[in-house]
Amino acid sequence: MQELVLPQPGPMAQREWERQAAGAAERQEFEALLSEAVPLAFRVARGVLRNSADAEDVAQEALLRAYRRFDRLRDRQRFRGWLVRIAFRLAIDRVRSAKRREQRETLWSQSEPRVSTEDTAAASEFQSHLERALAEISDKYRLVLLLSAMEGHTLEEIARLLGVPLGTVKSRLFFARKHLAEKLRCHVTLTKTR
Amino acid sequence: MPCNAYKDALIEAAAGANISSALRSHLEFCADCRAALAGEQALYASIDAGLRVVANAAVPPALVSSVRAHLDEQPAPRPWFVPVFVPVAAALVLTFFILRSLQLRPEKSSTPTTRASVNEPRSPHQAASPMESASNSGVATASRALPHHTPSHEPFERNTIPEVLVTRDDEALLLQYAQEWGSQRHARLTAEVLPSPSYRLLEVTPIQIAPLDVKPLEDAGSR
Repeated sequence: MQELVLPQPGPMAQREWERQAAGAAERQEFEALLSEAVPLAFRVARGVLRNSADAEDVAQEALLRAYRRFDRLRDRQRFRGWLVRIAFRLAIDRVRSAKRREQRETLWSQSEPRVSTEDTAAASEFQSHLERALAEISDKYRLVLLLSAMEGHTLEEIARLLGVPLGTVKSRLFFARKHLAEKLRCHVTLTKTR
Repeated sequence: MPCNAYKDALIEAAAGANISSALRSHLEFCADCRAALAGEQALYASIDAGLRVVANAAVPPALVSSVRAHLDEQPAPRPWFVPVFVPVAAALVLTFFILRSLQLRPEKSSTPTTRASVNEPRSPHQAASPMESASNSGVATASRALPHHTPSHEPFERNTIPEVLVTRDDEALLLQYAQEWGSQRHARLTAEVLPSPSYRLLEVTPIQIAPLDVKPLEDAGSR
């Protein structure tokens, strides 16, 4: 009777198998987060870029970057804040590079972000003023404004997302709204004093 | 028109700040300030509504599937230390082997080829040396056995490196050893223990000293 011996996998094969198993587990975990992560990344990028097509690209890039570095994130509870920062930074970089490109191409052209036909149709005049004013305020104020305007974000959650105290979020929000109001007051009504 | 004294307070109140008691009592009887506050509150409401539109834009339905498709193209995330560890380990291993090979590489002066070079007859006077005569009488120097030797003219080497003397029978073996040394780094060296030669005591004739004849000085008392 012939005896059959199954070859045991070597330590290298064992490690490779464990690595693949860990990678598959991380992939599953990441995919479970996608349903809420995709809208978050898209909306943050859309708020900065004012353009759906560009925001889609940036959201995708942010998610892929987050996936590649997902194992470095030890505390998975902070995933949303981490993703917000990645998406916001990528969107800001894209705006800046677009501005540089426009400056290179035409010196005298008006430096307005590219707006698609659907966006133009959807936006009212006040809305376009608002988005322009939003693009002019500083990054830290803009991010707080966008996150606070997103559905389901309380101030406490924004503080957790950004890793700043609640009081900081409140003060940033207050000054950001005030700043926007100063820029938009002339488009609504002039307040005269006596 | 609102009152100038309350202008900033009205704006801040509309922005969400607490309304002071002084402003509250002023608003009770000042219709213009009430209207201004309402206008400011309408402005902030418009801003908030506009921000909600910006921040809650409709997500393209294909975005999730597009991201999933791109995830399939991505390699599975590796542990963060792997990309760092691999080049560092490779560099360390490479450095170790380089240092080790530098340590093990025999120096030119210590190779048999170089040693042999000092055995080359250097002058007619040295050609008649006992070594040469030994070579003629059946003992060959290593210089004859080793090919491609480079004569060295360093006086230091001449004086310090011992000569390698082999018999004619061992010439072939020495040549083979030299070839092996040249072809591979660690040549096998076979040693043979020879019986110790029997020495004969040297016989020396004892020295003979004649007895000394000591004589007293004759004129010692006269001085």
